[in-house]
Amino acid sequence: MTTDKRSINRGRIVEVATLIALPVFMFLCAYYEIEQTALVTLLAAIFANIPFFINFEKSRPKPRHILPIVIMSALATVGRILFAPIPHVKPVSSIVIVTGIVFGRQSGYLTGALTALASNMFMGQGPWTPWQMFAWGLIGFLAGVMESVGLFRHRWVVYVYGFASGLLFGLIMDSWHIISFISPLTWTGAIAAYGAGFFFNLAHAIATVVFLVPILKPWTKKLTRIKLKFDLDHSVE
Amino acid sequence: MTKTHVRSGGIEIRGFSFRYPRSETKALDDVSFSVMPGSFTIVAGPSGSGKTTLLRCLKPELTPHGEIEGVISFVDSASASRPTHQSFHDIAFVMQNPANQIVLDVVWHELAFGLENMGLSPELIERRIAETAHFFGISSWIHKKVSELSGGEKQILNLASALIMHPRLLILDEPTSQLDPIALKQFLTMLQRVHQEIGTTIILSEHRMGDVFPMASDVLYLEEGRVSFYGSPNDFAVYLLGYDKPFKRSLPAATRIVWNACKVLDGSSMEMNKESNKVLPLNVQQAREQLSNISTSLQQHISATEALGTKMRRDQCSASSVKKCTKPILQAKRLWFRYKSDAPFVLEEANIDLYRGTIHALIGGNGSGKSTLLYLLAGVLKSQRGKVSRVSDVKVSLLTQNPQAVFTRDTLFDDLMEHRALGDYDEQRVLDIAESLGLRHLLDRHPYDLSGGEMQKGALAKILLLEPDVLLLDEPVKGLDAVNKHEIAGIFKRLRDKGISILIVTHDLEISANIVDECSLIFDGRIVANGETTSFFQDNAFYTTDTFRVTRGIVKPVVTMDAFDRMLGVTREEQGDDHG
Amino acid sequence: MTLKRYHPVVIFLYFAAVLLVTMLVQHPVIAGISFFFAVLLKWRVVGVVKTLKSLWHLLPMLAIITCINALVNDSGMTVLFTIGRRSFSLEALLYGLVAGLTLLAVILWFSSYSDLMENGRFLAMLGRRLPVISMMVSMIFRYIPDTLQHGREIDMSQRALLGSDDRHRKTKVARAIRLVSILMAWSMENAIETADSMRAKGYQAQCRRPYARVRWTLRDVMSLLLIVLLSVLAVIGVAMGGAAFLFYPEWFIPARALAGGRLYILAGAFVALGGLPFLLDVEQWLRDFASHRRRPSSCKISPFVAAMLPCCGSASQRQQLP
Repeated sequence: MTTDKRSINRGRIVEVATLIALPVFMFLCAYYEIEQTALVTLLAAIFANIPFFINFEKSRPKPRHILPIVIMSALATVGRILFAPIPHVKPVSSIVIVTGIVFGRQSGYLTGALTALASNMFMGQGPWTPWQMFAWGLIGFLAGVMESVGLFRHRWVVYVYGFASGLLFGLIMDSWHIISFISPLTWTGAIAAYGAGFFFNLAHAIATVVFLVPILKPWTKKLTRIKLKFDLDHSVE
Repeated sequence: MTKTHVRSGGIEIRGFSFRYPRSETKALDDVSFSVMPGSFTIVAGPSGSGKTTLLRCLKPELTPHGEIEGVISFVDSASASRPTHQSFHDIAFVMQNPANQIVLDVVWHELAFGLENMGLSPELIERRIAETAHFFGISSWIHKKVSELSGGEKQILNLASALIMHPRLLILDEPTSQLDPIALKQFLTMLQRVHQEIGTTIILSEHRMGDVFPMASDVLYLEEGRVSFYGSPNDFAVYLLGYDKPFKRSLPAATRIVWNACKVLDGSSMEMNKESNKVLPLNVQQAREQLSNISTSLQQHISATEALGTKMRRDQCSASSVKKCTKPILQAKRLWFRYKSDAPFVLEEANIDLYRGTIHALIGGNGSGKSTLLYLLAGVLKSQRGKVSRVSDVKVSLLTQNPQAVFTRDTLFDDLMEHRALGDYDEQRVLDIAESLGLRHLLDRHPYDLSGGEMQKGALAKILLLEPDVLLLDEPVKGLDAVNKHEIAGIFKRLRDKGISILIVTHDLEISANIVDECSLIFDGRIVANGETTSFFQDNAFYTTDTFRVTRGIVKPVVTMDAFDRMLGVTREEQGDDHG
Repeated sequence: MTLKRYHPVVIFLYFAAVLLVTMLVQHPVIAGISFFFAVLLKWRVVGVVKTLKSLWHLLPMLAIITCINALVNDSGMTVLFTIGRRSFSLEALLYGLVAGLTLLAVILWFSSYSDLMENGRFLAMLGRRLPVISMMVSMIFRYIPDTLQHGREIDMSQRALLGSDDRHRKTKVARAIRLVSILMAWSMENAIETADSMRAKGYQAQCRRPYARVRWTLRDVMSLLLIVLLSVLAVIGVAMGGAAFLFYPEWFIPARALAGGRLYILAGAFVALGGLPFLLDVEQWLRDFASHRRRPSSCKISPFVAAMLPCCGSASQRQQLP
């Protein structure tokens, strides 16, 4: 029991450390103007996803943990494909947030990450894939964390978070793009690039809220029922 | 290590009771029976009798939460009826829905899933996949994605991926209920091969007895959680018919015809069967043989009945007269349709007329364009050529194959109230509809927690609240047992009498023959035959009802059981649940 | 495409090696080679129409990256032209072009990889390390077509129920959200049965032993060695300064890059690496050719051909047999 707990705690520490380490690392890359940023950032993003995956593997997930993630990812993927004609309007973030709220941060992370991975099979894989995995995973993860500490008691906090998550997603993706592909990197150049992406990110943020408002309450209710049903249906496990 | 040869196991159940949490009544009450290694047992019973609960209790991994009394012990053929330890791969389980049971995306991977869980080596997995794929004849689609398989193929894959684990006992919970007649036959043929060639013990719950009776060695009949009958299939048929259980509808028409004929002739067919040790017929050929033995006395009886002037052909008359004097309420003329500009045409020159106050059946094989025609008639697809015309102010409603597609709310009541603004109805109307469809006690349930039949009725209620003039229904009786089917059929009849036109797409010929006024056969994108039901079925040789196949050439041919009974002068078929 | 029939690890390492070299350096020659072979491979994998289609999307991107860099950067010496007070230098343009070509090449390599390894087959090699995750990706791909199919059915029945009036944007959005909600509830409900099925088949994360339908063959090993050899050669070339290239203030190739033909070794190794899939194709074609020409009486593969081929061995011949 104690070793289990200790390893879970260790897993948590690794997760938080990764979350802090990645931006710091990115900043250092930019600051010291490392030449092979494209390669280094790609590897960094891949490695940033790994602790979350390994922790999930280690938790020995049961079908009732696995299937909600699978279904929500499939749903978000289909949503992303259906909304592909309208750029930067995608229901992925809102679906990931609801998953994080109902099924916890780990499920939130995995839903985000696996949606990015699976949907890019249709939208196109590229060096952005690990970054999108990380960004959407983070959105789900933070939603789970905020729910568990009780920040989401008021619905409007979730909407604010939804809006912020759209911007966060943009921030991560833009930073990756700037650090990897702009050289020599200057403050003005970076600000100009962030500025150029701002309206797209705003569109994404607004779209996330627009999707979130109608689905938040009914979906939370529906998913809570499903969760109960999953828990009831298993007995000998 | 794992043994590669297959052994068969049995099960001993003594005094087994089961109660779900928060439920007053026991779902299973004092159930005792034993399944011999290598036997084939059918678990039968009306829906809600506890079949699924019983089967799930036999598989430890699927045993639901609840209060359990009694013992279930697994018996191995090797250890001579001593209970042995069993693990997950000793008992395989195949469920009702072909798609939902599949876990992974490619056929070979799905086959490997259970073996991966057993921790087998790659070499052994490869070998078992090869063997199993060969046995089931699925080698050619081993690389296919599961989404490309038809429902029947999916269910065969489920059977294969259950048997690849070399189970000693195979449990199947209504595995054919979602399949069309052809796929059903294929599946059962496979199952029979598994039983005969490998010797796996099989426990199967099923609501179409005709096809599985010849394969079975025992039948266990449950009623409200208790064992009402346990014995051989033939005795079971005699039991059902003798006690006149509603469940007798699940027996093949062939059996019931001969039974009724014998009964009319000497009034005590049960005794006759017992004395002469005669076997009840299970298929058309056997029934014809037995019926022709008594054909002369039967003819005499029929002539006598006719002389008495029994009212006959009442239903048919009314229907065809309606058709003559009115214009079609909904009409499709020369429809051509394809889903994509580079896809082949699904419909080519399809015509169909629908008249007010009639039930019209659209029958045909898979991929013949039935559902597409329905969508076009409903106006949710637009044809590339041809035209769908409807009488003005006619409201057309569509129910797709899965009733799940219409439910949005968390209770049935809320769901039924959803469109009150659109349909301009109130709470009372919802309660009335629910009452008339027998849903009143289910109103505060979640729609997805309802049984198949209840869900179908719930979806029907939701649509009826909008007061349509035309109902287009895609396989409304799919997956329902005979009793539920009969009930739904009764509802359709009542709706027709109120002047609603109904078009049903169905594979179920018996139900078509019983309630439908007009039939159309669709094949390869067009309607190839169309006619008033009785004559339609009398003109077909293959695509017709068993009743007609049995009676053809022996007595005056009829297409439905009811017509046969009327001919014999026994019209006391329980019509009680039909009128409203 | 012969490459498709190789072991997933070989395919992965091949793409990893190409991407490594491509992304490791900012050099016009390397970027050019990488882009060239990336387009060629894309064409071999998906055909000419799709390749042109993706180039149609990518080339504007190249133009934009090149222009933006030329606009933002004023470090170059060779001024091409000036607009107002801004001067546009050849160096900035060149840097933008190289960066853009590199990015395009990377995107193309990635997309060819995912075309080759359809449906997340690349996760087969993760099976050992991340068995649950790779299984979940497979499950997601199993659910996507079903979800689309159910979505279509819901759309049909909702439109039939409520009429197909979607003139207003608001009703359109409301309809889409209703559809997704039903879809979610329905899929989840079905998933409960899938969970049952997983338990019935004994799913437990800990004792699962993933099975992949792939095996190492001799030709896999040989081509793997070749990939490793070529990429090591290329990386050594880079490490010794073969890829040194100065963009600013005036572009030139430093002497150390050319000393001892380092650049040529690097470029040569990279060309060989980029062309490897086609070499494998040619090898297969030659073998096919030889086996078709073979008559029972004069049963002979030209020893010359056999000796020339990098990865000979019985493995590839065995695979040709039915």
